[in-house]
Amino acid sequence: MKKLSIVLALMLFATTAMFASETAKVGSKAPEFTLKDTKGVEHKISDFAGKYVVLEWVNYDCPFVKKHYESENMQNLQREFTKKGVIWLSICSSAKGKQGNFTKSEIEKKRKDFKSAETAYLIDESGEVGKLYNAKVTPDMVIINPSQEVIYLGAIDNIPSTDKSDIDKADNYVLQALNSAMNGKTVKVKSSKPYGCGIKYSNK
Amino acid sequence: MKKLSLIVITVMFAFCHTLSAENLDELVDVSIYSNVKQIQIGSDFYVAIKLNVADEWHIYWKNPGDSGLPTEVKWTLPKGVEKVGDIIWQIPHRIEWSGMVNYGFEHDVYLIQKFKTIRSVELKSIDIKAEVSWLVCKEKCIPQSDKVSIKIAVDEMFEKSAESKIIQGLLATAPSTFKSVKSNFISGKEKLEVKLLDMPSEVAEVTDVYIISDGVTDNTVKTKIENKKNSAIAEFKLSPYLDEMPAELEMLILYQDKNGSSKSYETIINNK
Repeated sequence: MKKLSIVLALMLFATTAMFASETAKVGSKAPEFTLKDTKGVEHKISDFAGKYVVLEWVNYDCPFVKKHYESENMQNLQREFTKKGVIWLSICSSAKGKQGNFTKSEIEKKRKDFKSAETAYLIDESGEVGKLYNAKVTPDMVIINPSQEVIYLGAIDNIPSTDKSDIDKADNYVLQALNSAMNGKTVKVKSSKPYGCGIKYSNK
Repeated sequence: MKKLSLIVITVMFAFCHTLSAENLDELVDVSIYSNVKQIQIGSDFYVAIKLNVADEWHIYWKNPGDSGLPTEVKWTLPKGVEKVGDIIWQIPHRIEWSGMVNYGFEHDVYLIQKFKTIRSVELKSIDIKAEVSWLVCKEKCIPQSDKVSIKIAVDEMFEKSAESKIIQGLLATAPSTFKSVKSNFISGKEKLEVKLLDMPSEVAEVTDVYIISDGVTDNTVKTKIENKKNSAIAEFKLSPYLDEMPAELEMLILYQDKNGSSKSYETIINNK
């Protein structure tokens, strides 16, 4: 009996390990994670089942992120869609001591200055969630539908640059995907190579 | 004695501090050269933009890889002067860090452009302006740009410039272009297989293949290359972000010729 439980436990461990290493893909279930926000409140992805969720990898000091925040492009998207019931989670995977990793009070000040309108700003110092979602750069965007399936992965738009004047000319993939999906239409562009600064993951 | 060591330490610390405090405006130094000092109207010439990048920093190739931005040049040309083809790039370095692979350059890099002059347009001199923009990264990234210009005299006599030899040397080692007719590629769910069925006759062994078209392959997975008699197959893992496979792919192929010299060519391959 004891032996059997050990075998079962091992099997269970193996399956969880297998699932844990399964990274995000368009059309697949969004990998599960729990992260704390700046106030220490835990946010678990599966708790948002039934709602659209946007994940946005952020590093306020990255020039590509600055392009979308200083122009208020990102905040406008956050405002528009959170009003429509979308959960918007900004995630910072910068390791301690690296660019983009700020103290909680610094984050709050920056959010206030930018008038950001995300549902929560989550801290992923270990980089585990970033790697689970294959996030390599900031900004990197993921859209999850109410059935917790990934429906978009990649760049915010189609003009890779740090130039704010490109925003109006660009096709915003996040806006397009959310509008299509929320109106029962097919998402045309389901993924696009994200452009930006490399995420400053921990060296460990 | 104690006092002296303290002074020595303080001085050393101050010195190291000065060294580490990089002036961010001086990370990349841009200069412009031509292979000619003076030319006759109707002839071709080259202009090279040299970017000197500070130690430990890098700038990017036309396909930057997992992050970054391609270095760009916007030319302002006088009437009667036209570009011939695109920028001739040097072979990029694979820059790996934090689980990412980028293609770019450290230290010195030259971007070379060929120009032609139109016989029917009279010119006293050729003034060329270039606005160069790049993203320079170490751990952090900074977008920067600079403007440079060059004046080439127009006369009956052709005169080489002092930099002509350097430019000639760079052109000799730059990738050549090759028109592929038979080569093709097939893509599956996760894999891309490029079949190089026609190559320049001097190719003895293909050593590496870079996809110039951005966002097609997963740069972190090493390319598998299988050399066969007069052909080669390169296998890539497709990028998880690829939405639609392009109908044609631009590639840079590195090879060894029959004398063992490292060479390269660029080509466009169709999906047949």
